[in-house]
Amino acid sequence: MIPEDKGLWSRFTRWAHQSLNLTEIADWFFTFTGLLYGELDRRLDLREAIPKALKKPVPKHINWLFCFGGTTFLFFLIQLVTGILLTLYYRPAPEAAYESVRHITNDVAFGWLVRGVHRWSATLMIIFVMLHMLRVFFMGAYKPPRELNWLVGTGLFMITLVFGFTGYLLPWDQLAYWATTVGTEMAGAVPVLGKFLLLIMRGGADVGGETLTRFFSAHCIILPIAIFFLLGFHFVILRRQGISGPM
Amino acid sequence: MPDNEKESRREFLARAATAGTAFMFLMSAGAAAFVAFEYILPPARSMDIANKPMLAGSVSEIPAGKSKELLYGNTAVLVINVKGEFKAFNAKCTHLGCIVKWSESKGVFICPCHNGTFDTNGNVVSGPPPRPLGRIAVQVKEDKIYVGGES
Amino acid sequence: MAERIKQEFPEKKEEQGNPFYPYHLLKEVSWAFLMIGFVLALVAFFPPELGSKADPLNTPAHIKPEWYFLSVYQFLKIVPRTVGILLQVIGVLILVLIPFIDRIKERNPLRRPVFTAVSAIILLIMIVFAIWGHFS
Repeated sequence: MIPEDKGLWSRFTRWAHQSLNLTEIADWFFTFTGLLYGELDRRLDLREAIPKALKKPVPKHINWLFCFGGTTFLFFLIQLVTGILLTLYYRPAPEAAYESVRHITNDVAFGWLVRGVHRWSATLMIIFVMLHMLRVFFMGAYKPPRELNWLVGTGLFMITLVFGFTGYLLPWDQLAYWATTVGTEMAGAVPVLGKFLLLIMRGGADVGGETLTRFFSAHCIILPIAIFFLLGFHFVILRRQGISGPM
Repeated sequence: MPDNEKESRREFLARAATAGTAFMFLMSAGAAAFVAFEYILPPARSMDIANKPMLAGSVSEIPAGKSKELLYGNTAVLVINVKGEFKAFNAKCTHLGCIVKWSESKGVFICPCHNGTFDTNGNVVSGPPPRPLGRIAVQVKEDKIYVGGES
Repeated sequence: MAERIKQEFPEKKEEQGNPFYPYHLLKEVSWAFLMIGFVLALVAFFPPELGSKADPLNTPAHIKPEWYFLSVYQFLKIVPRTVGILLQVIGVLILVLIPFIDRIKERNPLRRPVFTAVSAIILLIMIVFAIWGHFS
């Protein structure tokens, strides 16, 4: 299993493998904290399962084009952590929202960092989900038997965009307010359903306090739950079907 | 009682119980969905548009060619003075809901979002808006301007 | 992939490469750190702005949506509203249902040139619209 080529990277990984053997370290660690490993291992057979999962071979045709989805997930995790931190100080009311975001940015320790990372990681998450989608699209990786995962994936893509749309309003500054006014008005132009959609989204005739609480609820409760289940589904299907084969 | 009769009665009871459970489940799910749906629809209060005339200012406040912006209920209203005649419009652009501005030099309303323009009667001159601006009644009593209500 | 799925949907035989640990784990963790570093650099050099507080009576000039909605925004600027919205809905539907619309067995984009070319042109138009929307 050890690669033959003499490239710098494989030499480095070979060295890392030999001197920093994770499975060995884990084994050693669990043996010394014997109680946990012993008791858990007797019931869950971890000594077998952990190395087996870790040593799953990766197909040879995988290249850097295949990293986009995983990178999107990384940014999702960053969003989860920074998003939870932001809710500790953010107040979803038109009189308070703007001031609370200013407070986070200027007064709270590292608030500028948490808000900044949430903002930029959102942008990068959308860039990478788009790249991931383009890769799958042009490589025809959505073709049978992977149609279902494409459907789940487009659902995830749309949820990500709605995350962006709802999150954009929350700072309650001029750009946020008017971009939301225009954006919801566009949804209002959908034939038949438009008026109803507009009312559901805004919670009133115009963008106001009701809109802010609705968007907050969507951004911090509804969409996270939805994306959690769809992501789980996405990964389970991927694990069952494997990465799409070479072309 | 013969055995197979007992058997069929038990089967019938089991089916009835299943059907009953399914019925209760569907009914309660329907009721919950109805309550949630009604809850999500905002109450009429937040849809209110004021319908009584409101004082917009005095005649001298808006000289010919000028405009005044004010909030009437939840609606942004623009009052303009066209050569001594006062007109009021819902300032919400009929395209995508931005608030139009009165351009004194050009004598038109301009939407800052997509450059839709409206003339002094609220009709579309150029740009994407599909409908004229909403007209709002104006009354001048003595030297006070009132907007809204019946004209 | 499970054997039964493999039999029903045959794919070119994939060569099994190196195990995930340690060869790929190390690479992925390095990439993750690189990306986190990139985000931190962006925050340090381009901190997000907070404009003035929302004012429902005053639409500022040059309001634009986020960059990922720019092409939609520009598209709606030049076509009638209902037509524009309808075309967007149809576009999204095609994207979602592409596995059921595109029945070509071939996966290699170069060996199904028409499909690839049409998609690439649509993509290019969207990018051009986004850039146009940004500068208009």
